[in-house]
Amino acid sequence: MARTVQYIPVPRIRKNIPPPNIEEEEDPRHHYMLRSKPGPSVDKEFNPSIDMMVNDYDDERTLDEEEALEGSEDPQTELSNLQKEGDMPLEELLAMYGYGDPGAENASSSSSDKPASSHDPNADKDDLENNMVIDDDEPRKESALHQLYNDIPSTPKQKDHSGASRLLRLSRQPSDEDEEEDDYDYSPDEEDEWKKTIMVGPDYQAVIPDGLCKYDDALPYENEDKLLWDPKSLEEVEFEKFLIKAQEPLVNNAQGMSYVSSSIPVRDDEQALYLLLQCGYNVEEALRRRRMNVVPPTDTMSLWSEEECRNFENGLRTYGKDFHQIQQNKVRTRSVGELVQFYYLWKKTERHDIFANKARLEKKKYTLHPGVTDYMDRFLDEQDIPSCHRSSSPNVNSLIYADPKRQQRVQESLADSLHRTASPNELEKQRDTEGVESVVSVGTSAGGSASDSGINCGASVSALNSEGDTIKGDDSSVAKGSQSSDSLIDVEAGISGVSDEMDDDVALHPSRVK
Amino acid sequence: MSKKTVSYFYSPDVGNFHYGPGHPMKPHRLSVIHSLVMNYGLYKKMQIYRPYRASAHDMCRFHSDDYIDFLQRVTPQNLQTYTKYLSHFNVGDDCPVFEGLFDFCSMYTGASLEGAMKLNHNSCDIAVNWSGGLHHAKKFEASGFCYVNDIVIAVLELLKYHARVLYIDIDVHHGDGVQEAFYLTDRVMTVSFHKYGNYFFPGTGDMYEIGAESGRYYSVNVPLKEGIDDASYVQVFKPVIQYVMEFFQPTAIVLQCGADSLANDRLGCFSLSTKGHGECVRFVRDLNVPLLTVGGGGYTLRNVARCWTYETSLLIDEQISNELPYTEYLEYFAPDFTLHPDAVTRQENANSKQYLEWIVKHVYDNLKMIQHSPSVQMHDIPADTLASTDHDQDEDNADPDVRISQLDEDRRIEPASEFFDGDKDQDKNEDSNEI
Repeated sequence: MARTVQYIPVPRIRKNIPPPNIEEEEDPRHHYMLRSKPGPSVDKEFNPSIDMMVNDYDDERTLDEEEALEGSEDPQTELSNLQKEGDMPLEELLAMYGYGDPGAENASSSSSDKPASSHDPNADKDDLENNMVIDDDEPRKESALHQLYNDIPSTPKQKDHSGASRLLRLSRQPSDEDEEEDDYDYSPDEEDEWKKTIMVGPDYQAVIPDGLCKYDDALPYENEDKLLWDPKSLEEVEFEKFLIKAQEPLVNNAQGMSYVSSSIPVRDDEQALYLLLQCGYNVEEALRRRRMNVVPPTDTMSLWSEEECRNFENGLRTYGKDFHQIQQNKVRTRSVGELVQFYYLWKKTERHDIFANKARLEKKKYTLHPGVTDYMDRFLDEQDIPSCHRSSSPNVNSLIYADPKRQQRVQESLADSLHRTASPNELEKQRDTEGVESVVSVGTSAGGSASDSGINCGASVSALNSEGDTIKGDDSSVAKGSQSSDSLIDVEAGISGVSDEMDDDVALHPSRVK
Repeated sequence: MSKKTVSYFYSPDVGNFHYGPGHPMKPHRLSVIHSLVMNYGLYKKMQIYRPYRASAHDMCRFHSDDYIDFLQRVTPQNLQTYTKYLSHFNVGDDCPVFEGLFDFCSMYTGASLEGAMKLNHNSCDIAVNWSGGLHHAKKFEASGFCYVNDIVIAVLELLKYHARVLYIDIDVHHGDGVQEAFYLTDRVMTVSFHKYGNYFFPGTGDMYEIGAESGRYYSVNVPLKEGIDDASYVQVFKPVIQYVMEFFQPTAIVLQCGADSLANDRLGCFSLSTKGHGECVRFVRDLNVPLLTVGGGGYTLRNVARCWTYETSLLIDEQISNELPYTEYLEYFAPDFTLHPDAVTRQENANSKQYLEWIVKHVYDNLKMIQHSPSVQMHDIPADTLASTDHDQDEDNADPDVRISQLDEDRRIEPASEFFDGDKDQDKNEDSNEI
């Protein structure tokens, strides 16, 4: 039963019968619209009936939401009304919604063609014809519609009525009375955002050049691109041999972050291939030049100093992923582009795991002593969160709004702002004094919880093992063994923090749970 | 059939932009893809270009001067002085002003534009620009993470030499910017497959949006419901494209490969696997029409990277192993480290077979309304001077005793609308005459 109710497109019902609680029904939309700015172009000619069409492609999830928000709406009333309609003969239905009425002007204005467009009258006619084609053949139509919705367990009557409402959608014929009610009950502005239209006019279309060019027209940008490689005129095997040879001297040079590897011999090397191209595919010459002139590889980043890494992490802690701010205030030696590149490489290293665990701990702590900065929350929240409700974005004007991570963040930051009191300076002090201790306690707790739960979290375990090396620079056993005065809290927080992370991961990669 | 020449356009810096904290669009996915392409050894099998950067002038071939001027001037620092323009140009949440915004636009637009030029001059059969495909941008405003519509600009370039250009869009979102730009013309057909309804962005893409004026029936929309899987998608995609080819007979194709139609995308709701998505690309490649392939949406970084790497391999017709090669980004592909992980999705397929059949029929019925192909088709296509010079030389060398040399025969391009089997398909067989 519940599923059947879900599938009744609520706004459609609103058009067909005077619903008892239209305000409750509108609630979800109010929520959405309040958070969005109105679209820049508002289509005044919009006819509300178009939302019926949109709704035909509705999916169940938002309806779930709407249902939850509807509260006092009585679905039984709607159902019985719709069932009545569903049982009506087709002619009656058409008459009821003014389809048979030749005087109904709405018929043409509510055509599926864009009202804004300066289309020819044929558009409407064709659509009407389409509808009629479906109309004449009622038994076929019904069965087709049954099948359209055949994944929904429902009684024949309910199917019938979904067929009827579908038909209503196609004929799109709200009576005048409904029209007035609509205007009264919700603002047309909101309806305008239901469905967007393709705009027509000189402000929207591209200007198409007339006719075709001749091929002897000058190439406008002929020399502004740069050919880096062209595979012609040499056998592939030759390339591979060349690449292997070309990479030999570089293996010793390779350094940078810990990810530099020598395991794949036939990795394409942009510089080497470009050199070969410049040498006119003369392998010997290219190799000779390469040996002569050993350039540091530019495709991997030049090495970051420990200080730069530290500053970067500090910056991330302070500004979140605002790389411009980090560049301006923390890592002036690098361009914003380099910071972005570094961030994505750093994100999958042990340093990041340590950073994140530490951040998580701090988050836990500062919920007891509120005042944590937005950015840290943000950073954590952006760690992968399983997403849901993607099939509908609550605001058709905004693509980003559908982002589940964003939605969650908005809620959390609202909650957070309610109990934020402490000043940032205090925070900074606390962090300085507690930073070292918290790293230590993550170490002990994470190791324990990982082995207990039997979940493979190799990354964080290895992060812990090497933690002594990367951060303290010396004795890791001391780090693991030492307990600070508030270590009990830390250990507890550490466990929950780590297992939080694992939950996220598991949700994303179900196969990770062995 | 011999392999096609594939040109690959990549700016090494295009991945090093960031839309801002919490924004799902991550240009760095482009660096990850490039790294995979190199480490799979696909790089050396393509022509590689460091593309030209599009100028403001190039962008104004489609966009308004005001808008491009704004994009050129605005930075995160001077944002305050432009507040009144922000909402006018729809710059804000979805389309933030970030460091290097105009550089980013000029890189991805330049690459698409140049891809189109290379196709125009027959220097390749397939051009690939994964950084392009920003199909929501409008003439006067930004939209849906897109600022400059590189597709429209590339299509305009193709129209210089091609009578009819087909645009295909397999992003989960409707390709509204491209459709709107060419809504009134019969020289560009736009075909978009997308999730439609229930507030899903951008709210256009109804099946009844078919174009207007001369462009009537030249916009094709295939609205789908959430959760569509490989089998269902292909069931719609192939016949629709087949019909489109039959009725429209394009001489160039632009394929937008938005990867947010993959399962588990951060913003998408379809259930395609990389193989299913790639099947569409393979199908379009096999149409043997000059092809510009661009990227688009795709918000789960690891899956986008897998998808477009795989599709690069399809375009150059190379098999690549399911096991990912070592790259500096390998950790992103945990835990399986494969190219084609099992697509685990909890999204139910809401598209019934009947619904899909019905949509295909609807598309077919509309395409049938294209009585005559557009007027441009009737014009002579100007001779390609470069090619004709070659041809003259060939003629000089040709054996005068042979009436139609093998070379000539190979070069002769038969319109797809011709129904005779060849020169020998005549009512009276020449062989029998000789007797």
